[in-house]
Amino acid sequence: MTKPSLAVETLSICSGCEIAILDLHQALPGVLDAIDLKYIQVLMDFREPPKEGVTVGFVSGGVRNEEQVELLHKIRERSQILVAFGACSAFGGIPGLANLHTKDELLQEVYIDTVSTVNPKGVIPHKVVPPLLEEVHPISDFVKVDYVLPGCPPPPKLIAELVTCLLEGKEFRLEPKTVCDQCPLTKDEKSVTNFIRWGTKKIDPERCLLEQGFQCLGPVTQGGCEARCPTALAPCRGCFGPTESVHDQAAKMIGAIGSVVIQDPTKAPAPEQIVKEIPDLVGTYLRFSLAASTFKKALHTNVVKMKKGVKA
Amino acid sequence: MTKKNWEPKIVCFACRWCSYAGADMAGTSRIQYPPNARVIRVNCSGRVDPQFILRALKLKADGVLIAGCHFGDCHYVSGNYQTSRRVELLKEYLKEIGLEPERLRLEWISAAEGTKFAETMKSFVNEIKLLGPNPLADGGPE
Amino acid sequence: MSQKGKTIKIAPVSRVEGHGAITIQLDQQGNVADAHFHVMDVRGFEMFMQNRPVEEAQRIATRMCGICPVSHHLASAHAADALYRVDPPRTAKMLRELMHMGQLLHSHVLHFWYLAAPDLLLPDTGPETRHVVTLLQKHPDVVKKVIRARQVGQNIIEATGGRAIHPVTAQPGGISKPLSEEVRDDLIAQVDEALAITHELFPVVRPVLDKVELLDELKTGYLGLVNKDGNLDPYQGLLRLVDHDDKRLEEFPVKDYLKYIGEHVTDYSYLKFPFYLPRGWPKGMYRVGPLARINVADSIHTPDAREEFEKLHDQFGRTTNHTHLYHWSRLIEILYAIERAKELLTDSEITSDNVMKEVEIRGGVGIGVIEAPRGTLIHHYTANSDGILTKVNLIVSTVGNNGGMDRGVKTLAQRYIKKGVINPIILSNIETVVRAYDPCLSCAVHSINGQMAMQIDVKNHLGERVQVLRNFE
Ligand code: SF4
Ligand code: SF4
Ligand code: SF4
Ligand code: FES
Repeated sequence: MTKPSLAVETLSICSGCEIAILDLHQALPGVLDAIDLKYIQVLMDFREPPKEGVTVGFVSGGVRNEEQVELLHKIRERSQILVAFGACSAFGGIPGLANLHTKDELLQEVYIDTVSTVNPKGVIPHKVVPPLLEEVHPISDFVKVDYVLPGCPPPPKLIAELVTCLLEGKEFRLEPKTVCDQCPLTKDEKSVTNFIRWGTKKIDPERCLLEQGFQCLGPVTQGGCEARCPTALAPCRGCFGPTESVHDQAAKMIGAIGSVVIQDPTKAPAPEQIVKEIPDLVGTYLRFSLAASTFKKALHTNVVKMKKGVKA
Repeated sequence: MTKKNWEPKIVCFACRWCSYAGADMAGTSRIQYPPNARVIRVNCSGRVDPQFILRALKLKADGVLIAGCHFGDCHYVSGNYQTSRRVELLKEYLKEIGLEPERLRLEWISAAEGTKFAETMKSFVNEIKLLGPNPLADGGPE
Repeated sequence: MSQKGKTIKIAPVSRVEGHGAITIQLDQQGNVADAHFHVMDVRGFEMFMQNRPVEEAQRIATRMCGICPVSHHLASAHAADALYRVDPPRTAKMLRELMHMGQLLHSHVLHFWYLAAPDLLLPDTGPETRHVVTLLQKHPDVVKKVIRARQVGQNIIEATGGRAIHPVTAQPGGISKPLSEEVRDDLIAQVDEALAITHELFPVVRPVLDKVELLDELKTGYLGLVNKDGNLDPYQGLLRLVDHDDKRLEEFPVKDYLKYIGEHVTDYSYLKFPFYLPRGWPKGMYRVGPLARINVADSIHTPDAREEFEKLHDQFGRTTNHTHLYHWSRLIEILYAIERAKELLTDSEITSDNVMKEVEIRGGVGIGVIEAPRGTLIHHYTANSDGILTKVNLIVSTVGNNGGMDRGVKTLAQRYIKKGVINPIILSNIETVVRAYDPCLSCAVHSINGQMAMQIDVKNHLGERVQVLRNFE
């Protein structure tokens, strides 16, 4: 029997997803033995996936420029099974926060307005380099995706599980659990009287971080990471994306905030107060999934109008 | 859709214990209010998933009205308190994403306040008319 | 195959992290007229880190790079400490530094053994098989040791940072979680093992370490951190800039960096080119990373690393300009990282639970620096009085070597392409120079995104594209 083959295509990436594969460590030689690794740029001198014979294609990274759209279509055509590998590929990831700005704003900031840039002629790179798209996209905006392996990056343990499923021809599915379901910290009651910024108060190493008043996205985030962040006493930022029943992590988190506050209305903070205590709602609640959320990006023209106070 | 004959589309989530009955009363006692709203009956304002509200706006509703029981009257004790926090946060969300927060409104309307329901609807429709159509309706993201 | 008066483009450059391309312009005789290195993507962190709270930056910045996320995490924490004017407890600083040593170990082992070693140890193999998988088949026990050494690095990061890739614990004022004695003891055993492995691996590569003729010699300045004794310290200290002939140009705290460093923009790469401001671009070009640090440091305080450091300098002089020596320098730093990790782990205060100071939200400016595996990394934040970032400037390590890569490509192209004669082996040798810098293009293109793989665009002397040549189908 011929071995199933694997090709890994990278789009707009930080490379963490590839490193996560290497983080199989001692298990890696075994995997390389069971699978015919055809293509992974970070390790091999091939420039594109083979024309045929790819059983599984992993795509890491979101779609940021025109060239990546082509690369994505190519790997889709050449693979029997396509996996959105990692948060960027699945939901746009952190680079998706760029969707709060226009492409032109971004280029202007990076190449002209940053303080150490010396660019009197206002040069913006455009030769040889591929043009940017207006915004960052998850790959599902362009192609059919067979499996999603979330995480930023996906934990090696889940990568091994996925690979095993694929080798055995089984379906791969994450359990319908949230990060909270796997979190070791103690949740007792909904008793928050005010929300506080990270770093402004000592952390109680036993208690649920959200109930201590810190923002933690555990309740609205797909489980599977074994609650890595809260276990290290850092709040979840939602890198596994929404659970199957959730479409918009921010909306769901807003729902959770509504109910985590102490019930007694005489002790509860006023709604306006809560808004003040939670800065940067979109950047926190949609940290990894803005590009796949309800609106996907800021409505730029309207943002400008609203800033100027002009009504439509 | 031309701007001229544009009429705002409003989605209203109304609590069955109070506001929905209030809307009914407005209807039976023939209090006039603009016909722009689709009223959806919910078990408690606290049961309105914020995702539904965003969904309505995404589907190009021009405004969303949430109507629930007055404080102290909620059948689930704190449902309406939760709603008040959520709506405030949702407005912030809308602002950050570039949608006018005024498109979302929260009112407490009891079963007896048919007139208040009608008045609220009138003023909301007027306010939305000033804001204009949901920007998603013309060329916003899909 | 004859390619006169053409431009050759190699894309993507593989076995580096991210996406890049090389173009080579030939003249009418088919010799190299010009050559450039291009980075193909930009993500714009400087833009979208704005409007985020200062204390969230540590967890956003990591996504610039999955290979050296610790550097971004910590440079960001340094900037945030400065902005919120807080000095973290000693234990917190030690835990952060330990995390950084874990990263230096993992990243250097990754680069040297997974990415560069195939070039050095399998030079006669064709491009299709010149990679770590072949190395695994030919030298399975070497590769197993390599895997273990890197794993120790990642384990240190996970123990101190919560996650091996994109750690989460550093925050303004300290770190979220103390280190338990149990974990400490386990890490000490692992670090000892890593040191033993490293000494076993050295002889395998010793014969290729001083083959400086393989790559170019490039006279540039060098920038890197040194501690108060003038010794190697990738975690903290003063920035020292020396010239190619060992002349000390500057020594300054990072808060003054704008006086000394500027960044040049070209139309052909998404990557900017930093330079020593007083000299202007391109005269002020400097390099960063392992070789730069070995060049700027007076010495190294840990014994095994110092021995290698002295060996290198005895053989090549005080400041050396051979690009190939980046590899050797990287191995010296692997030793340093392990030895330093051991020092930190055996300090009695490392397991104290005094790991954070509460911060007060405020506005201001904070500038942080660290020596990432690939070189000096600067985060510069400005925040309003609510502690929300209003301006972000990032000088990322790989950017520091952009000029070196750009020039190196040209030198090698001139050496290997004569009268229009090109073959794929030559192409991959040119890539090798890029790889020597271990460019992490994903990191570099924090600014949109990275793809490093190559295609050669052949243009004639009029600049018209006449052929696209790729060393793949
Ligand atoms: S999902 Fe995370 S680890 Fe993977 S490429 Fe994106 S930012 Fe990097
Ligand atoms: S909210 Fe966060 S800290 Fe609390 S239980 Fe859920 S994951 Fe754990
Ligand atoms: S706790 Fe949250 S942010 Fe952390 S790894 Fe898990 S899903 Fe990702
Ligand atoms: S029952 Fe009416 S708002 Fe809760």
